[in-house]
Amino acid sequence: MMKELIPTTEEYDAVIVGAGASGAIVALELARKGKRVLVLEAGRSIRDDEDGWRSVVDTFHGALAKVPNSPYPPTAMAPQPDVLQLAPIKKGVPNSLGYFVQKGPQNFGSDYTRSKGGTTMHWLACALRMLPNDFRMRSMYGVGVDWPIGYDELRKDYESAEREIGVSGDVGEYWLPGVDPKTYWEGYTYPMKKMPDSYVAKRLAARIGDLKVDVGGKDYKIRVTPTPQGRNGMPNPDYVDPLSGKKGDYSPTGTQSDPLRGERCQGNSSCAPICPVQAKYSAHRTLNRAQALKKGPVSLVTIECQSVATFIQTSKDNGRVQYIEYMAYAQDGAPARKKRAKGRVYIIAAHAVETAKLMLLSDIGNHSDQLGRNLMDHPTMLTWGLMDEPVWPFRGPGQTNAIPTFRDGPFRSEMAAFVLPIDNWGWIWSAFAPDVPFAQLVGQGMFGSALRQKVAHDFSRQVTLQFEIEQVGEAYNRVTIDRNFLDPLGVPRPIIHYELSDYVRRTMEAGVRISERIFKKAGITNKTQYSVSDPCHAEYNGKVYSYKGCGHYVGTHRMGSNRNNSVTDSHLRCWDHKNLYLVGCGAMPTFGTSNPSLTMAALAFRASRAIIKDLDKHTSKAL
Amino acid sequence: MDYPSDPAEQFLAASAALTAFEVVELQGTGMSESYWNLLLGRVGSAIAGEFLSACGSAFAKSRNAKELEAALGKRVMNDPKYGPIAQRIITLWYMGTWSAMPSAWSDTYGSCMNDVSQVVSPKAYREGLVWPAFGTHPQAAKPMGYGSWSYPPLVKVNTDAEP
Ligand SMILES: Cc1cc2nc3c(=O)[nH]c(=O)nc-3n(C[C@H](O)[C@H](O)[C@H](O)COP(=O)(O)OP(=O)(O)OC[C@H]3O[C@@H](n4cnc5c(N)ncnc54)[C@H](O)[C@@H]3O)c2cc1C
Ligand code: SF4
Repeated sequence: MMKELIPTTEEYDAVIVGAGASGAIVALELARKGKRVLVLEAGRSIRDDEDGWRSVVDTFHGALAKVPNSPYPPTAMAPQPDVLQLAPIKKGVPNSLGYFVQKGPQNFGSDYTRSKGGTTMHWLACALRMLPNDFRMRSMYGVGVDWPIGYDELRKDYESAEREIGVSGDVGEYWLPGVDPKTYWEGYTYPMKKMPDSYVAKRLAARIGDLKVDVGGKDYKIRVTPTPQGRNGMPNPDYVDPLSGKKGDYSPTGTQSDPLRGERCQGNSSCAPICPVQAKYSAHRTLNRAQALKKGPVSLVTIECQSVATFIQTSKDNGRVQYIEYMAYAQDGAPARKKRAKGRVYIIAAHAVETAKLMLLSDIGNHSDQLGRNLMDHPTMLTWGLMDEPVWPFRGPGQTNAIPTFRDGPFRSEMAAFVLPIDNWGWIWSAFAPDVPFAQLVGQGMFGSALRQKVAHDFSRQVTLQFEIEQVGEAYNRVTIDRNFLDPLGVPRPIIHYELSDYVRRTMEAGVRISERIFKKAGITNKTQYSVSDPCHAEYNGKVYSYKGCGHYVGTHRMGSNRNNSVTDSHLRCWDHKNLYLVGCGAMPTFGTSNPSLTMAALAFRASRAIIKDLDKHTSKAL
Repeated sequence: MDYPSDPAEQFLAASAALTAFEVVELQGTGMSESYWNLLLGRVGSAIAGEFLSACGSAFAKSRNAKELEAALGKRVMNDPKYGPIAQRIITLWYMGTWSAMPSAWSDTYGSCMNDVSQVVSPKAYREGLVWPAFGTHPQAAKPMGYGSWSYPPLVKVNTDAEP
């Protein structure tokens, strides 16, 4: 499949692997300083004009099983994991049916997307900052590790990330455990006002009232709070733009072809996997902004799609990266051309799994033996039921509110923290609603007015709570490679080793108890069912708990305080290779109960400063 | 009750009774022709004709909607040959999806090459009646507007009585 090696003569300031959010932010920041950037993207270039986007939406409408990757079929040359590839893992027999080789004992239940825009194409866009204690898990609770930096050092970068993503939220209403709003926010406001609360969240909050639940011998009040999210809402007149310093002139980014479209979320209720009007942030926005920056008539940022990075060549003398080898394919199945990309600095932003994989197969950067290890997600245990009043789900963003009560507390030394988003799409995630419950009713022989009435009665009352459970890094949860398992380009596929620790399982046990209390108080009849035949399940004290993957791949190239305990420093620079940066959620040593991408974006801003400094310091070619 | 003589119209009349949506609501989806043609393709015109006759006999025996449902239950839904076809027609209208015939049915009455479970078309998905049946819109289409999700839907849906 491979043709002659064609060296690329052109040399860039920076070569970035991956056109997802993290790569896009670095490209934008570098271009803002006049640097010339090449972005290599393994997947297809989905167009974000009206017709291109429409085709993606149509693909989703026409998909029988509507899952996150339905709108974004992979190319054979850049395969991707898909939740439809999950299957029970038998002892000693890995599941290699899909792209991943899942060694178990548990399944890693998440997917990601290999297309221009990366996984933000189908992310839900919840944009939570981490809590200060999440950065110091070892010193506070004796589990996990401490970050080399704290919340305060990241606060300004969080603000940059919230501007770039376009976050709607309300600092005043947002309650967080153990957090002093004064020092946490320092007078900040979000660019846009919070998304209106979903009707189900409003009813649930009203019905829960002042319920308190005991965890680890302490009573906790169940609170409901808005979720900050990367979705266009009403601009906030009090917002001060950190770039311009101006107050009250924030304007949301609409679609590329029509800036007036997508300026405001319209309630298409499908943010994951696709927002038809692009009111939800995707990395396309950042890529468009980056490509608009020019030197003379020429864009400072070049994006080459269908270009799969396959090897990072480093110098034997000083460890510096010399070039990146990649395979460019014109079409699926057509012979790929091997090429080289040269820059003065290199940034791998290919997603937590793919970045670790590329480093492992280049056999570099692993002095600490941490590369590929500490793979985490938020295993998400769902509980679901029917409320005794209609709550009208399946309208609006996937979630607008969550119960943040258990995001922090002394119990974290024994069991994992968790956040409880209130699902706004009924049983979509818990029971594949409306398709599967509908098929069951028809299968029971229902028809005519009885059927219609049953649909109206039951589906309007569906409620799901999500227990998104924190994981801490474990050396045994890891990505490895094995040359016996190759993709069609001949590149090793990721081998995933994954096991839920008792730290997580204790929370599953407590979670079921908490859910029962909430359901009882709120008038919800429990319909939750867990089974050993669910591809993702774990047992604890003789009981079975099922969970879903949350798409939050974290930890595989963690930063740290020195080269023996980590892959990069806190600027995401490889300890072993001075002109190589690893950007993405893989950098995060822990991530508490926050969806990781806002922190990932903040870190991309932080890394960009260091990269620019490097480039400016060494104006000569040899960086 | 009246039953039309044209097969495509019979298909609509039977569909309305099976789904509890009005004929005009079904016509309003713009899908009737394509669903009727799809049915002909999947089960063949002979069996489709027999199916419509069975529905017709239920219409003939009934004086009102209630009696019609009872008759359809007996003559169509509970019939091993027609029941699975009726279930698939209901699913077409509600979900925009064709489900492959059960293998026991195909063993007896024969199958065709394109009898696979599928969303009929992106438009069929968008016109699914399941969504308005519980006060909402199809995901990724026909949005209800910024902030609408914060209140009960404007179009009233009766959810009170359990059937
Ligand atoms: C269903 C779902 C919902 C989610 N919801 C949220 C949420 O609400 N909030 C949140 O914070 N996070 C969420 N996430 C996680 C979030 O999507 C990711 O953390 C984020 O998109 C990762 O960004 P990235 O740039 O690191 O990687 P990606 O976005 O995956 O981008 C990596 C890019 O690199 C490319 N690439 C890979 N390998 C190569 C190679 N060898 N050569 C060249 N290019 C390559 C890929 O094609 C891809 O375009 C969700 C994830 C899923 C699956
Ligand atoms: S609710 Fe709809 S319009 Fe709003 S962001 Fe989600 S998909 Fe887009």
